[in-house]
Amino acid sequence: MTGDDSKRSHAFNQAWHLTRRHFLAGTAAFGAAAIGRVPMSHAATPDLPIGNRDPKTLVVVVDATVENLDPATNVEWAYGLSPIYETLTVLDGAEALKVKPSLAKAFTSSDDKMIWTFELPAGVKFHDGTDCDANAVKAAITRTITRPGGTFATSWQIDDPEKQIVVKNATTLEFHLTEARPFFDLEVSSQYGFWIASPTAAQKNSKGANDMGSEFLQSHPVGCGPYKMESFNPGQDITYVRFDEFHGGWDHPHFERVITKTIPVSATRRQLLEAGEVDIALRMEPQDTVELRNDPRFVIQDTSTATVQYVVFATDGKLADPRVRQAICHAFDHDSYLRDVVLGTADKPRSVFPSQMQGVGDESYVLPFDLEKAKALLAEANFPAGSELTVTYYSGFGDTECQLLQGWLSELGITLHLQEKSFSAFLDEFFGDAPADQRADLFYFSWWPNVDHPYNYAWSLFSGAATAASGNAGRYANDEVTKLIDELRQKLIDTEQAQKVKRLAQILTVENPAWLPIQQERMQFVARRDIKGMVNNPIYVATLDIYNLSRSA
Amino acid sequence: MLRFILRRLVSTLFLLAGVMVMTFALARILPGDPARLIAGARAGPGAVAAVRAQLGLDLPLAQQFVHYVSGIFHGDFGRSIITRRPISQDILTFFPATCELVILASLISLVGGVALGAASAVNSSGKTDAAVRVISVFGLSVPDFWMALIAQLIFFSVLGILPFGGRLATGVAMPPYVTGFLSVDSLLAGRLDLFADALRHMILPVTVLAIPSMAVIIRVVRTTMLDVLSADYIRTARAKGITPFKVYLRHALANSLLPIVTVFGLNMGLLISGAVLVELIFNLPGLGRYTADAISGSDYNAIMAITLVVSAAYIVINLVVDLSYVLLDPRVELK
Repeated sequence: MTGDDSKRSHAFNQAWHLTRRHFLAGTAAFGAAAIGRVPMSHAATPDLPIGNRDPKTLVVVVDATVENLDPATNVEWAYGLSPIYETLTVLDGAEALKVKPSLAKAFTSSDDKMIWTFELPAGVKFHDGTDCDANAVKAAITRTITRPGGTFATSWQIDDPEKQIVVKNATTLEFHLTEARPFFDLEVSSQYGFWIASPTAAQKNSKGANDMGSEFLQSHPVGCGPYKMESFNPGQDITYVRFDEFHGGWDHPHFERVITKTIPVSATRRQLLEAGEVDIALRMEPQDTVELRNDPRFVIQDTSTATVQYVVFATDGKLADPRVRQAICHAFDHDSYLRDVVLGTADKPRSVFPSQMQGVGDESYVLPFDLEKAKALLAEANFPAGSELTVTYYSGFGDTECQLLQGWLSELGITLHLQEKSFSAFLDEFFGDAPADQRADLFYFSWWPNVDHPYNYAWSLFSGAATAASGNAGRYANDEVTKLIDELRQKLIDTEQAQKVKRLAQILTVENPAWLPIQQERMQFVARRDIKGMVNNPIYVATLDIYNLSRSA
Repeated sequence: MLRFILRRLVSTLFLLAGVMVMTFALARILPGDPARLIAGARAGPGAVAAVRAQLGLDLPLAQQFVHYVSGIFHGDFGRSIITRRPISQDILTFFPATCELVILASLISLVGGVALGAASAVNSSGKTDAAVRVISVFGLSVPDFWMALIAQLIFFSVLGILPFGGRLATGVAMPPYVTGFLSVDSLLAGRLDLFADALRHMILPVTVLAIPSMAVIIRVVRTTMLDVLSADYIRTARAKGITPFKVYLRHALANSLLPIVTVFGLNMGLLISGAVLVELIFNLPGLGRYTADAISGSDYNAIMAITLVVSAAYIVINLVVDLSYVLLDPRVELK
């Protein structure tokens, strides 16, 4: 230090000397001010003011932007689509197996379940003013099915829409199916590929056969749902306003405007809720949910979903022996994970199937945490001590769970290498056709059914006929499983079929495990106490029925 | 000077060509299939193959590169995997928010940095100097994401006097798009209320972004001015009876400008990279957040385009800085 520097330093110390008393006094004053402003005294003030916000406007904060509002190509969460578009039928409230009319006012099926007839109300309009009649609905479905590269081309399972969709008159539409489909109504209530978009808008703005109006509809959606889009600020917010001509009417209380704002950080979503700036927050971190649960100013719509997070076993490599997979299943302590890590915001899975899946019953098939049993199974399978395995997961999903598994497996003498990849690279490996020695031994992923039916859920994941590209990333092949799954195709789940589902759960979770199910997600919507009508359907992932929400006086 | 500019422009073209080759190669080397990402996890192999063909990803690599380069010359950077829109359209949508943020932050950092640095040098070893040094050490050592979070906590959650982020209050409609700069577009629309709201929303992000950059300028100005103030011509000026204000402003500060301009140019890079985190935390729909989303979503087309655009912007800024030397100091000759 030079003499000048020393003098300057001394001068600095003189000028900025802070006694301990001053420091403590200042800190206490700041703390008192902070406590006074942070809404910690919520017990005394259960009603959170909305300030000068319009009470007829609903503000929802979400974690991820819906950038694509074309229902023929949207693979994201459907909360951006549901205010604008309608499906022919819709699942009733929280019921996964009960269907009610939506765009269609009634529907019937032939005795053999090969012809389904949907009756549309007369005079329904799209937001662009064009008629939403039987011809328009047929054209909209045909567009979804025939658009090149359309993700949902196979959703309808209709090969020839021109012939198979028959317009009987302006309000009657028939579907002539190639096999008996007894729960076709459940399928058309699904959120992936079944929304009806204005064919006129698509055609008028089409940039060719590969586009079919998709680029336009992505940011200018035209449906016949209760709300039409007012503005779309990419990455920021979407504003919807009520569609006056909506065929469902506006008699009972509804919101006039709805704004969905994208706020990626959970803590910020919580701050906005607490400040009264927003009404509902979706997808909070467990810590935020737990704390808001005790806050009387908010209600939490906390329901189980059909989404299962799991570790998939690559069965064509080191884990070919089912006993090794059983050992790994015994090495995951679900109870402490659910209690200490996710703080009770998720459910313990019962099998590879979601617990509410038809036919699966109330039994739990998940192998209990038992490291001694796991060691015995490894010894029985002659699995070499000191073996190394690799688990692949993608950024932001599964890292904690894989680290826990790593810790427990180390007690069995297995070294688990963690491999975090970008989502794109993960999908490449997960769905790829690389040989077993060039892939990971385990993958972390999640899945949910489009329809509450075991065939719909299980075929692409576990059937020996399904490739990795279809979803069978573990390359699982078990003749009994494949046969049982095939036997469930298009079957109503009665007692006999339920036995098959239970047998599947037993094989896939216990005898010859395909997956280690980690948790069954719960969906927590946090809302101000004055918001009424919140319902979550387990099949509709993070999708609010906004039309039926209202604010109490 | 014309020769200098032409030479720099030619070298700039080579530089951008290099960036193009490098980003294209990196995007193709890195693992990940954009077609699968677009088609979604539930898409069958047929749908993925169809998307791959639509994107031209089934073509030989050389042919893909030719398409990519010719597209750029037509202003077509391809389509974003995440937003599904043309990337050129995305850049036009997101760039103005970043530009507005960076321009305001750079102005504040320049004005504040020069004023505080000069005050610090003039009052060397005094209380002002000590206070300014605290500010500059704080700005240099505290990460901007931490500052952003603390600023949100204090000014939004605790005091409730500033918004947490975003560009306008919830439910307020944007003014008609002219420049994309909300402050300008709101004035063009004659909406003073929107102008005030936009400025209010800019206070925290601009301040947080400006502080680290301002800290660097403070240090440079202070050091340079301390050197200049001990020069013979300053003593001469003082001896001639020129007022201290004039001495500081016209003689000392004016002769300290060259290093300030250099640092200012370099700081633009700091500001652009700093904007990524600031936009993320303050929920600003700018190029920084777009870049972060593109990186986390392996949106290679977008990453390549942003790299190219930011490189070009950085090159242009540095060219302007070089040219400004001539204007600021007649002794400088560009060869």
